[in-house]
Amino acid sequence: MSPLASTTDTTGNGIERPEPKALVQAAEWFVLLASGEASDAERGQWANWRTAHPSHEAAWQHATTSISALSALPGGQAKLACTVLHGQPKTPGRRRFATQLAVLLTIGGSACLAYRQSDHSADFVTAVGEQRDLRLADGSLLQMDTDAAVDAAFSSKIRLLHLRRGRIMVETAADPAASYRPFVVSTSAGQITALGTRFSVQIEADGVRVAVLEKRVAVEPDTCRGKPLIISAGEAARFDQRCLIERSPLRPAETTWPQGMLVADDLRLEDLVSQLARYRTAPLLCAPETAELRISGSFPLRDIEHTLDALSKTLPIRIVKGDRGGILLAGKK
Amino acid sequence: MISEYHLDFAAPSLTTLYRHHHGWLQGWLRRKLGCSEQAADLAQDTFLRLLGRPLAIDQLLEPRAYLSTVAHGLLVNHLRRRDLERAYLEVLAQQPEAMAPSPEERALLLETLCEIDVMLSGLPPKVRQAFLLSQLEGLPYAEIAGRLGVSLSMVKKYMLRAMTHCMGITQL
Repeated sequence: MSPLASTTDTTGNGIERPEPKALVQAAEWFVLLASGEASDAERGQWANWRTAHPSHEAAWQHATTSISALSALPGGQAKLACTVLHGQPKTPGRRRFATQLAVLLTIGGSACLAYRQSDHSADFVTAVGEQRDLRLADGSLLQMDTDAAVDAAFSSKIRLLHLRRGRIMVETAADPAASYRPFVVSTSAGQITALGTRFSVQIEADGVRVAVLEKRVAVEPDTCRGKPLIISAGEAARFDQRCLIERSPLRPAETTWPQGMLVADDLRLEDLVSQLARYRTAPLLCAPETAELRISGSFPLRDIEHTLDALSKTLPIRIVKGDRGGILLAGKK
Repeated sequence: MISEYHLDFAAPSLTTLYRHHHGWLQGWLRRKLGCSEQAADLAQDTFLRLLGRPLAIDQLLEPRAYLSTVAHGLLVNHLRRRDLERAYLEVLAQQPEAMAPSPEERALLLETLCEIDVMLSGLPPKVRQAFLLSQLEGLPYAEIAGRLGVSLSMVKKYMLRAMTHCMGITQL
C-alpha cells in the first residue's frame, strides 16, 4: 500500500546542459555572424541549428551570456573602452593561477551538487528554503522543514518514516487499519515511537533532537533498544546512537516553524542566524563582532533577506553581500 | 556521512576561519599593499569570496595557505584594476571636456572594463585586439585584417579562439 494519499509534484529544472560539441558549434556560428558576411541562407541554417536540439539553444545562450559584459558598455563609450583595453599588457602566470583556482572551486561545487542529487532517491524531499505539508494515507500529517529528506514504509504491521536529513513535524491520526500499527520515526541514531501525539524530529550535527508538543513519545537510541525513554509534552530531548544526551524544555521556535515563523526569545544573533541560514542555499553568517548581540521577536522564514533587512534596522549591524549570494552580518563601521 | 557533515559544517567552519585568521590575513595584505585601509577591504573581500563556496578538508587543515591563495588572487585583481583605472583616466584626460562622464558613469564604466579585461585575460594581444575591434568598434573582418596586418582567415581563427576562451571551452 502506498503511504502517500496526496502530494504535489516536484519537477526538475529541465535545463539541458550543453554538450562540448554544441558549445564549439555555437562559437563557430557566432564568429560567422559577427563577420558581417553571413548570407541569408547561412542565417537560415543558423536558425535551424538553434531549434534542432535544446542543447543547441542552451549552447547559444551560453555563448551570448559569456560576453554579456560587452553589451553593458554605454554606446558612446565603446571606442574609449577599446583604447583602454588595448593598451593592457598581461601579467604572466595570472591566468594559469586563476584557471587552477576555478578548477578547484568547480570541483568543490560539483561534488556538493552530486551529493544533493543523490538524496532525490528519498520518497519526500524539500529544497533549501522550502516547507511542505503532506497528508499520509493513514490521515497523519507530515510537515517537512527546509532541506529535509524522508522515506516512508507503511505495512500491515507498522507505519514507519525514516528521516534522513532535516526536520519534520508529525501529527499522528488514529490508524484506520483494523489492527494497531505503531507510528515510528527512525533515524541514524535511533527511533521514536509516537504515543498518540504531535512531535518534531530534527537531525542535528551532534545527534537527533525530539520535541514533543502533545502527549508523549518513546525514544530508543540504537544501542539501547527495548529500554525506551518517555518524553512528554513541553519537553525536548537530544540523543545519539548510544544514549540520551540532554533533556530540556521545548524551545518556542520548535512549535512555530510549521507556520513559517521563527520565534526568538533573547537569542544570540549567531544562533538566530544559524537557524535562518538553513533556509538559504548560499551561506549566511555573523562576523565575530555581531555574534553576541541579543534579539527577541518573531521572524518570517519565507523571505530571509527581508528578515535580515528588518534586523539591520534594529541592531547595529550591516549586511555585506558576497558575489555568490553569501551574506555576512558585520558590525556597523 | 562525511560529506553530509562537511556540508552542515561549511558555514561554522568559515566563522572559525574568520575568528582565528582575520587579523593575520589583514597583516599579510598590509605588508603587500603598504596601506592598512586597502588591506582591511581586501581581507573583508577574501572572506566574502569564501562565503559562497564549500570548504574542503585540505583547505581547513591549511587555512592560512588557502586564505593567502584566495587573497593573492584578489590582490592581483586589485592591482590590475588600479592599472586599468589609470589608463582610463589618461584616455579621459585627452577627451574634450564636454564628453566627460559623471562620477557614477565613470564607476560603472570602469566596472565593465574590468569585467571585459578579466573575460579576455590570458589571450594573446592580437587575438584580444581582433575581438575588441569586432565586438566594440563593429569593424568587418577585412578591416581588422588590414589593421593587424594578418590574413582574413587568421582573423577568423582569432575570433574563434577568443570566443571559445570567453565561453570557457578548452581549445580542441
